[in-house]
Amino acid sequence: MRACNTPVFREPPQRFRLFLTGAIGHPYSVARGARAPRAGPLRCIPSTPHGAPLKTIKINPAGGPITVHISSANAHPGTYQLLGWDPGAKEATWVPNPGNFDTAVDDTYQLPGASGKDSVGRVIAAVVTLNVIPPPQGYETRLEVFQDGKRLGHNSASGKSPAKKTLTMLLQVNLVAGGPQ
Amino acid sequence: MRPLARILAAAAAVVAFAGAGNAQETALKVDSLASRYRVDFAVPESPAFSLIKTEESQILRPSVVREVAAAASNFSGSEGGFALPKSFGLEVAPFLLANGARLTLNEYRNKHVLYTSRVSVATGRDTARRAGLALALRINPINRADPRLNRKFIAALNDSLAAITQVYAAALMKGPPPNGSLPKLNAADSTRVERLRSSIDTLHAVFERSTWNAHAWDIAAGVRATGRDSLGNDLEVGEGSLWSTYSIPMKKWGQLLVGGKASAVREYSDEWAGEFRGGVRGYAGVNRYKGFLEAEALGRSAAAPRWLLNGGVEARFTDSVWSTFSAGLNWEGSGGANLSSRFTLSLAAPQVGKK
Repeated sequence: MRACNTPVFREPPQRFRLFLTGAIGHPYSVARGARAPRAGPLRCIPSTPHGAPLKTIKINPAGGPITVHISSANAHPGTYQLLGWDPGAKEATWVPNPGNFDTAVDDTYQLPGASGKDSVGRVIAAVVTLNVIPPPQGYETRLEVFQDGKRLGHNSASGKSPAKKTLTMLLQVNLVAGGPQ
Repeated sequence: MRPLARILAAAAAVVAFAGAGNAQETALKVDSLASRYRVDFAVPESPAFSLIKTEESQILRPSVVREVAAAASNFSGSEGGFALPKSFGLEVAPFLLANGARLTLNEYRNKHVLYTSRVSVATGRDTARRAGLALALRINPINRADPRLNRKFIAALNDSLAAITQVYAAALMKGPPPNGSLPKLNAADSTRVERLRSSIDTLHAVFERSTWNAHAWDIAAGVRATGRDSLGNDLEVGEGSLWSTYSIPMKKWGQLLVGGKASAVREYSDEWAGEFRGGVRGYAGVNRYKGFLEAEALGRSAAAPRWLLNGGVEARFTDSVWSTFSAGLNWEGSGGANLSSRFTLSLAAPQVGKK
């Protein structure tokens, strides 16, 4: 789900999402001439001006260790800091070295632990600061979660032509048990 | 000045020039008008547009890539008044447009020639009112004014970006997991972040100022087809051209361009003639305002050589609107010199990041 700048809006029913995402403009706008879908429940999506709401991703406790990959599209330079919290931790328990999108080094990190079980309940966050150099005008950053070479899910933040060209955003995932066995 | 006000001022200047354009050729009041404007060298004039319009100087100028650029010229009507443009050009960077959403900084660097390549298309009418269509491809094998390709600039940028990232990370890591939003910074940290943002803007401004005349090499190829009438019926290829231009910096204030254009042109007799133009152009000024002086030689099969001495000014009103005014003398064979002048207004998508 993309972050929206409007704090509260009426989300359409799930079955209409793909259809509506294809419309021009807001991800949930209705194409001209199309019949408007029945509105879903009023829902507030927590979002920073340049961020994405917390996303839950299911992992397999019996599988291998979890890896996360951070990326920035549109060839914009940027830096990031990944942070991880074990279940119930009062402060971050995993703080790898900071990185940037400049070097050819793969921006992939393996979480501590020998198996997926060690990562169940963890919260992983990425603080990303981008400098948008047009063209292209748009930006997108993505935090992806992998296990045993398979992508389990991702969280991303994107936008078009931001007023400020230096953006800081937070991408966050919550890892829970229940992924593919 | 507010952007809208600048655009209105530019529009007013267009109307003023459109009216004055023809008068300049006889009154020789070039300097008084020219003094109001100076140049932006980074104007991405499309090769196709160059093929369509009857430009005296056809040296192609290196520039920073933009996704879409459009240009319109020939605003002056037959009586010297304002008229709708007779020609229109459009330029796109197809690979950047198609793959930009998945493009990483390293991929861009490794294949920058591909991602900065541009395709342009232009339509217009010639002096006999025949409609024409031109297509062209332009590539930038070397462009040291591209901020993404400058490792020192990116490294300096990353230092400031990393400092901002660490301010937020430090505020987060000492507490429990965030609830999906960035932490609120205290006053001292907010001030620090704002200063770092300002330093990034300054970095861009300094880079732009220091690289306006950087080494760059442009190559372009294009074809023009002309119709039998104003509707473009029975289009027939009338010209094929190949350009190459290299720009060399002259300290901080100037730039030298060396370029050439080789063409095959269909004559009125339906026979093809070879044509070669070689030229040197010197620029002096700053990024937004520049003056230029150029010399050009034209050789054509079975025709006397032609020489051109031209001078002018370019001014950028906003990041998306700029103009060029030029006037010069040309000689053909042993004949006397002729005076000509031209005004062009160009429009493009907004350029490099401003705050």
